[in-house]
Amino acid sequence: MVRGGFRLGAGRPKGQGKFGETTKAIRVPESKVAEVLNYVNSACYKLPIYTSSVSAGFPSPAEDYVEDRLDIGQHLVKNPTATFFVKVAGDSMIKASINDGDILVVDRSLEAKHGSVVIAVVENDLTVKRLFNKNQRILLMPENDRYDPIVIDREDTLKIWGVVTNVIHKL
Amino acid sequence: MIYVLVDCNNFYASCERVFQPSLNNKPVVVLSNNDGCVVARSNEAKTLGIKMGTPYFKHKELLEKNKVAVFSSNYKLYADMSSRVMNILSSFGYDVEIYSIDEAFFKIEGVFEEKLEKEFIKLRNKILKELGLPVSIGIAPNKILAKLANKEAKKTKLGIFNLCDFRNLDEFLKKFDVEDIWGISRNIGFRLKGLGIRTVLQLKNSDHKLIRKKININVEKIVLELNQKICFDLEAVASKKSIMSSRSFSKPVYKLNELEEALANYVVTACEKLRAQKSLAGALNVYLMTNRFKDGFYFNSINIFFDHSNDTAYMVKKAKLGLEKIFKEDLEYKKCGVLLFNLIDETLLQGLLFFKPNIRRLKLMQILDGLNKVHRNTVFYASQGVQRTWSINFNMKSLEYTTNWNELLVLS
Repeated sequence: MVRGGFRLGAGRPKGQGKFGETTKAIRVPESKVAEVLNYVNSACYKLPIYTSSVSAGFPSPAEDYVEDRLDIGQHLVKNPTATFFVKVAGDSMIKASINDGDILVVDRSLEAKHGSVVIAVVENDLTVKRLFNKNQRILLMPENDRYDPIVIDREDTLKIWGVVTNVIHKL
Repeated sequence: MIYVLVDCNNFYASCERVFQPSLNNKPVVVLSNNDGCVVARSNEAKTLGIKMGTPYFKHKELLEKNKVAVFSSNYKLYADMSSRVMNILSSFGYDVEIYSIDEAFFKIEGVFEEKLEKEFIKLRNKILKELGLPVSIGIAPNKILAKLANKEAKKTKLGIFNLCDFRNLDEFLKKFDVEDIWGISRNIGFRLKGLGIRTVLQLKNSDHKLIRKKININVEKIVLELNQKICFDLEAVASKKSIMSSRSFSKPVYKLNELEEALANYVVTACEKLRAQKSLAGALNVYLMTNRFKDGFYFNSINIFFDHSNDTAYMVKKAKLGLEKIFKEDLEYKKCGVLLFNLIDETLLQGLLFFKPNIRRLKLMQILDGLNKVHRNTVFYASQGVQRTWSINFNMKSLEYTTNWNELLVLS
């Protein structure tokens, strides 16, 4: 005999309460409880949200954001789970301001488009190049006249490791 | 109810491949602490006959002849990659139980629908794109069957296999030996064979009460699960690779000291399991998360490494340190947990327990030097390029690409 678990049709049918629909419990700051209850009971549909406390019913023009100090990590890395850092050797991308010794922020969750600077797998090695993908032609372009572009013969041979979003260059 | 097991294929070896694409489709082997035994193999290495757990030197010639890439364990890398996998799994949208460093179970209410399989294929593709790690997915009505489905998934192209509403379950179960089942050790497999039970189908058709009498209640539960009952909920058995202990909170938790208290309990439980299986842990992972259905979902985890130990008090202290680092104020926490990994058998360290790591290395070096005098250039190993002689810093570990600014992957 199987005890417990989900049974179809069990429980009080939804929509039986005073609002005639499924409800959701939420958290509200104590000072706002009266206001929220008032709104809910009078069935208005727009509720302004204030990030600062309101005195005399007037929003503060200064709108104090006593929030976190600027975090460079948050600024550079949008998706930490899929972001990796790599270091550059050589000058093949110098015209893109990517120099020897720079650190690249690489986001693997982004889609590589024509013009993106990407990390690609070429002959089993990882390399940083700008992607050219237009008019059925696919090339991995260096940003230095001394280097030749790498021609990719078919869409499926192109192996993108990730898209470079930022370069960290130490002066 | 539907259970889904997601696990990374050849996890340690796959991690190495992410940062060295030249290893794709090649045989790769990863060794344990002190480069003692093989703890991970790529499929190509498995084909060569390299078995899990065998001492490194036993396979020396085979490895050299086949140019197998050999690595020392890079736990910091693996632990970080694992955190990333778990982050993606935790925010997928279903109740998840992190089971080990590279496996997690999902528990999903309701009946199976095609669209669920499609969702999981999307999940697999997401992990492959964002992390470069291939995973296998097994879908079934319970955990035991999900594990079998997962095994089968590894043989498929899409990497996914569904046993819910499966047409001919018996035919499927006939293919597996009882020892293929999670939770059946060689010892128990031997005893079952003594009872004439060899295949999983035979186990399914056996009398579960007899099994309970002759073997144990755990195997009885396995028989029941093979018959599509649910006996193991999330958080059941410990794995030899790692030990998990966690719980969801019935009421949300906000304060650090409350989380610390809960965490301490989980560490105690985990250490008990650790000592029961006669293992020592060399690392732990602490994680916590808020409710994934609410806005601002937060998941974070941290890995802490230490000299191998089974000392509860020591690990509670380490776990608390970790928790402090990932804790954020004013969040409604739903769950926290601890995962002990980097486990080794306690007999391996007897005698060496009191040696400092560098002395341990020195002893190893002496042995290896002795060997090297007899056989020169015996093994090909591949980290940071090919080195054909033993160097003073005998270390085949790859770089800590994601946890050390001085060890970033370099490319041009």
